[in-house]
Amino acid sequence: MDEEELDKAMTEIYDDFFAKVVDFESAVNKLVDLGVSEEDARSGLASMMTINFTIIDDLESGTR
Amino acid sequence: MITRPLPFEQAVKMLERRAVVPASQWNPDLWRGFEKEVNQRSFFSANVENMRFLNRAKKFILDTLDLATKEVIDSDGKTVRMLSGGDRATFVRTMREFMIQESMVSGEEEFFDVDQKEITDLRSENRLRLIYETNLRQAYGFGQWKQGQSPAILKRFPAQRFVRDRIVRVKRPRHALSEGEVRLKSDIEYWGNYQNDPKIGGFGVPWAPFGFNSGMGLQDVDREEAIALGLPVEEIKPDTKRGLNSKLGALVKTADPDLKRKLLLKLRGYEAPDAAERGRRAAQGLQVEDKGDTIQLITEDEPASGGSNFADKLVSKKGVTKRVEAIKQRTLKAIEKVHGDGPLEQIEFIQTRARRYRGQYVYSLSGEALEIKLSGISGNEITTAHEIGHWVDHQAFNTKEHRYGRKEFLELFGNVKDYRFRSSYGSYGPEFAEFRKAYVESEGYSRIEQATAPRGYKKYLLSMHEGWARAYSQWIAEQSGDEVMIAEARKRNDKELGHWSDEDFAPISKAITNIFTKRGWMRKS
Repeated sequence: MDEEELDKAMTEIYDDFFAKVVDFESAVNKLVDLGVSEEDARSGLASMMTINFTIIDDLESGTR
Repeated sequence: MITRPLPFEQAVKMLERRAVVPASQWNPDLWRGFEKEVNQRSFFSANVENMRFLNRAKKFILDTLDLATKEVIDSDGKTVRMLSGGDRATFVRTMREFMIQESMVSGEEEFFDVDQKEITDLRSENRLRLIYETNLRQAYGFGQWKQGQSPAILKRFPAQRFVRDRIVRVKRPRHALSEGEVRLKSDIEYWGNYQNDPKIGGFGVPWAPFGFNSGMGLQDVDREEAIALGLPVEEIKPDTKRGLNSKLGALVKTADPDLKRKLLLKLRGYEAPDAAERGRRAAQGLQVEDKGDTIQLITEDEPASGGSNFADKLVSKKGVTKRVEAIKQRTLKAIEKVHGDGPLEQIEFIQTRARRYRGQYVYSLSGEALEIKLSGISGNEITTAHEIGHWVDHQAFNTKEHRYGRKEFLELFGNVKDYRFRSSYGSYGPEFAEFRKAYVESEGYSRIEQATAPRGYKKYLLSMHEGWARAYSQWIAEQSGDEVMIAEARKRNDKELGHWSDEDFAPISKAITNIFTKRGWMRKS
């Protein structure tokens, strides 16, 4: 798997985690299966929870 | 040298022993509730006095050294400046004379008992007594005033007369002219700002003493006499706000900048090797504000000038549990120790049950701040401070007045998709340049860059506004000394990406302090 493919695969797992498709432990396992060390998988994923996405909310259109 | 505050009990005994007030007028019960304030005052005064002495001594030593040294050629043929043997005794004698002149010693005989090898012994007993006597006179004056503020006494004796308690060598002209004058006790403008005016050496408070070496005092005036004098006695109300340490400040206009900085650090307890310890000590220390020419003690009735409070601007919506409300309150308490908020408007605080994000700051497309959300499951004080960091960045430091032009912005931050929104954050404006430099040069930033994680997510984690929010939360933890927040910031640094070790964080912390200081919002700048 080249760098681009690895990035794409990791992105999908992160997206699935934040879209509630997979839970934290499953996401970590999937990342480890890709060859990411468990420490990197856990610290990376947990750090993104601190991103606390700054949501831009439009009250008039109701979009989020 | 004064090295420690006088314990309360000792201070009281000293006051009684020295008969500053007649024993019959001394009400020890009144003072039981003021132990903390007396100790704070003692600590503040002792450290200020230390700095003043060191300031005078430093200048004196530099001046004297110029006279007591001579140029000599050393064994390498270089010209060096050395204390000359013949002048050494002169130097020591002059230094001792200086100490006598400064009232650091009672007389030359006091030097006879000094351990000649102990260079830290400055023989300061007399000065110590003088400082505490002045402080205790103020404490007594405050006690008398406080007793006079009880509703029953205030009703019976609503006014007071300005009287001379003891004869002084030089009378202040303003006081000499006002002897015998009667005013309501509530006339703070007259008692605090006029008769105790700092411009004539007063202390700016409505109780005695009315300046150093002032012989003026106060005498209660009863209701009948006050009415006969035409005073509006019906309007009088007890003053419950003023405390013993009201207006307590130190003039540091002529202080050496280095000594002033050391004094601030000492007063705030910032003499510790790491951030956690510094924080703990700072939390136990005094809240003081650096106002340039003065260092002012922050008290309930004399809040810091650093912007308004914003505890009441984060309004909890229905559904916030007691536990989450306690998290919010603890965070706000920590923040308010550190800085004010500037122009923030009220927003809502909402509890969620999210597991995958800990908190959110939400705003509308038109740029209006709407709400802060905190997960009741995974959110905590650091998360709350993080979201408040976004709020402050977006609303208080909004770059309406100082921002980069579009071209310059894109050169600095790349071709970001949400240029319009990012450019409104303070963290992307010129005010935050020092912060951004410290952030991208930190090891914490490099760790994110090198981590094995998706590029898109990493890019967001590295962004200035996310970096700012994380740094802000860690800065609040460090500056407030909140142990729960310090522990959480450390845990995140150990287990996750995005936070910093104490050493790595130091330049970022300094940059954030500078940003708030320049806005005048720091409580502890």
